[in-house]
Amino acid sequence: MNDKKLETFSYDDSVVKKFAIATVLWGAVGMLVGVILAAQLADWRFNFGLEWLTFGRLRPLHTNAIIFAFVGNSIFAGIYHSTQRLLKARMFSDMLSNIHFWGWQLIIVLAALTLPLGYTQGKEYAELIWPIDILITLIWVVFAVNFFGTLKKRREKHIYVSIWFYIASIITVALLHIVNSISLPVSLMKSYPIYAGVQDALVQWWYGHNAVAFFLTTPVLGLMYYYVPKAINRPVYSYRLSIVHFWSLIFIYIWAGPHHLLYTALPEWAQTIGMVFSIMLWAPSWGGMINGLLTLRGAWNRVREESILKFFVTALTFYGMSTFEGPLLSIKSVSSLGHYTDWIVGHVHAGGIGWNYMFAAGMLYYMVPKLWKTKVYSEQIAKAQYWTATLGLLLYYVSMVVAGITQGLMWRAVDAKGQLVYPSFIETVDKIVPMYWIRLIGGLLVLTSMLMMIYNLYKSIKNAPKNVEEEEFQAEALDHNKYKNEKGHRKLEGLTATFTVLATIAVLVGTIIEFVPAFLSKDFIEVSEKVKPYSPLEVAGRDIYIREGCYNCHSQMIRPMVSEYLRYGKASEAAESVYDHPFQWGSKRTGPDLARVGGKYPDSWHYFHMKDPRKVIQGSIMPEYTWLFGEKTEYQVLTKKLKVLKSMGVPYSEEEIYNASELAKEQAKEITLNMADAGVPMKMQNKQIIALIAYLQRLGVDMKEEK
Amino acid sequence: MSDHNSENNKEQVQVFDDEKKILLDHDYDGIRELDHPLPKWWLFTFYLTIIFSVPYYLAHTFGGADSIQKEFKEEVLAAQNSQKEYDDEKGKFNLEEYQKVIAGPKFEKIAKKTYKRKCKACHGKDGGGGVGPNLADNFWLHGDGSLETVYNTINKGVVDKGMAAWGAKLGKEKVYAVLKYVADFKGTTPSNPKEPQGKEYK
Repeated sequence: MNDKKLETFSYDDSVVKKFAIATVLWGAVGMLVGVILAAQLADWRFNFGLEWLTFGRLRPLHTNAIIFAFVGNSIFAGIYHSTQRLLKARMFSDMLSNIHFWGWQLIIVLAALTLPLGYTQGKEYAELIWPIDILITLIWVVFAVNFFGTLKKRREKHIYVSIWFYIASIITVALLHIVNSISLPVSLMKSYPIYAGVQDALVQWWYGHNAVAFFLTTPVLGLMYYYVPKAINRPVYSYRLSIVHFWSLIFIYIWAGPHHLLYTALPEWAQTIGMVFSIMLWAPSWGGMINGLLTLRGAWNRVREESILKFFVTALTFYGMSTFEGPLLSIKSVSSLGHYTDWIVGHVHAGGIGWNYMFAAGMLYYMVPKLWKTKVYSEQIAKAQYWTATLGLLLYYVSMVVAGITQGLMWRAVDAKGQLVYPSFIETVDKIVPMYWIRLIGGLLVLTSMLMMIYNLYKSIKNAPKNVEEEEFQAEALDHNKYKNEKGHRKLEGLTATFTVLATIAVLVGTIIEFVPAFLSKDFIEVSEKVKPYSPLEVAGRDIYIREGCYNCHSQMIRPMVSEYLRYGKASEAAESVYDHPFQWGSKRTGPDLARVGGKYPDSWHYFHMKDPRKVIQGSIMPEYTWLFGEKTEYQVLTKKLKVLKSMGVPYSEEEIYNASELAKEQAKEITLNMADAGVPMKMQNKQIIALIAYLQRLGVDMKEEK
Repeated sequence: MSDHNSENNKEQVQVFDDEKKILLDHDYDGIRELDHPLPKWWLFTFYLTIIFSVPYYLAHTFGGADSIQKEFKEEVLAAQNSQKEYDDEKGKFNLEEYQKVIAGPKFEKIAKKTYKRKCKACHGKDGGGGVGPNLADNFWLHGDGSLETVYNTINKGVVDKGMAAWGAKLGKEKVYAVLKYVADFKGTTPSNPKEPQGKEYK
């Protein structure tokens, strides 16, 4: 050993520090936005009458901030910190690290500006508009080059399980983001996704589900494999389990997206795939929890004393709970009760707060003292933070599960007369508003705990010595020849390119098997002669619907269930959304389904309802959309919009495209005239509310009649 | 940890005696790995989910097991039959039942509350109309304004025009109560009456 030549190197911890600070700052912002939204559901007036703060526009900001800003920065901090140490190599390029950091923060700032202004793609967790999507792609490539470059110059032959998870995550997130975001621009701020209806739904939930899988889960499992054994100084429980659960997890995860679309117009064979793969996902998910928790053997007494371990153990426990609840909710009959309700909201927060936030807190308390060569300022504050967060999480989760199951049962209750027991949707909302208040308290506690951590870490860093020099380390250069006789998985761990290719294949198999039929089979693009493209004014109205984020509270998908048939009408069919770029099926019903709202009420009903929902529905918790009565419909851009839609296969005639603006004006005039009786003045005809009414009145009418 | 100066080599990884045999020679920044076999219960769970999933998938996709659509059709049929049965027997206007309800002690309270919650938004607080037609004049759009026809309109609604089928939502007692409330508008002068619609019946 002594005759080997040692190389001297250091780690770039400055980028880790930056990501760590960004984590807590964006975490607090994301949670604050969440608390505002929780307050709005308890009492709608918490939007303060400002369009930028209404639920539909703000909720995407909350989800994007938590997923990509809070958890995103935390995984980057952890990956940059652990990867260098696990590979005994400094990051490939300090400059790329910095471009990654600042580029990512720029993306977050752009998101925080555009989303409240209503610039959105209208697809959940992928709301950001196309120029930002391109920026995300570029920054992700920078990250990937930096990461794989580091792999190349590593001094450790074998890559540890953490690195396996990082590789799978980096590859898959790139794939998900690019495939789901492809769209054709109308202008700098507006584009239409190339997919429509059922195809868009399938691609979107392949993305949406795997954003949870490959952004919120697999990278964090990788971090878990580094920080948990580090924090307890115990060997990882089972190497074999790492191998089996890693490969089974990434292979199975990618298939499970359609469980978000059970009982929709997605062909049933694809729904069943989503369900069974979710069930088979249970054990592979638990593999990570087991390997984490069993590593604690002999150290459980320390959980009582050390906050770091409290955070880690709680994170793993909630990970285990959520990954059991996930498969449970994917069973068709359970989904029929839980889908569109607050149960799902509870489920994701058990993951988001219980797993991601708890883990990030443990990781930061481990990492910050090491990075800044200091001590945690107050173990007492860390403990108080832990208990505050835990109490908040429990209040949050329990209130949402109770609200969700209560409402789910009320929606489906049918009596012996063959009638809905709770025919007015608002009754089912009234019932759960108290739960919204409890959730608000839970959310406030979680936010408070976050602020406690910020204070605690700030004080720790402030007490740190200044101008600490970068530490230097020594290790042998990597000699690949030394490892020629290895076999099986151990050999693979030394072949990073092969490993990456295999991981890519693992996630491509499910993707291809689900997508190929979706793009070839007629089931997915079932065209009915009855279904006509939206009129130009309806297109304008639809874009307002998307801008205001109506899909955050209203679905457009009547499920084939008798209670839905009685409440909303005939079950939705695939053909009905064939021209929907993007689809707007939604995933939550804070308000009723709108798939067949067209013609259900007079135009004037919508007019007065949008102005002041409580005048029409007593107890409604919907915001007032007063600005739609002041802002004018943009007619000029309609020709361009129709052109783009036509290029994607929506059958508009040249005449319609050319005259789009005139046709829209005519229809607007007609609608306004219709409402004259109810006291709507003609001067309203060019306002956005009229375009929105045109769209709403069109929903579901083409195929309303029984076959 | 040999040649790599790990930052935390002060503390050695703790390994119990019974683990020494399965401690692998892997060492990543001081992290060691044991080679415990896969927990049996875990493996069993994994197999069980696969054993369930494969036949379930085959049966539902190729084997003719009940599909969502088939169950749906049966449920709808059952509900429609119950509705029909109920409509034939109890759905019609019955003067005796009506008089019994409006003579009841809670009638006024129920009528007022129901009207306020369900009808006021479209027909105005004193029946003068708004989104919906005026209920105080002698002009009627659906039927002749008799108790029976107004009952039918409330009960079954005029769904195309935005009037919901309140019978199913409110139940018979409330429908009778609100029917009386509406009938009492006749001859009053609302504060902001809508122009007459439909045919006049004296």
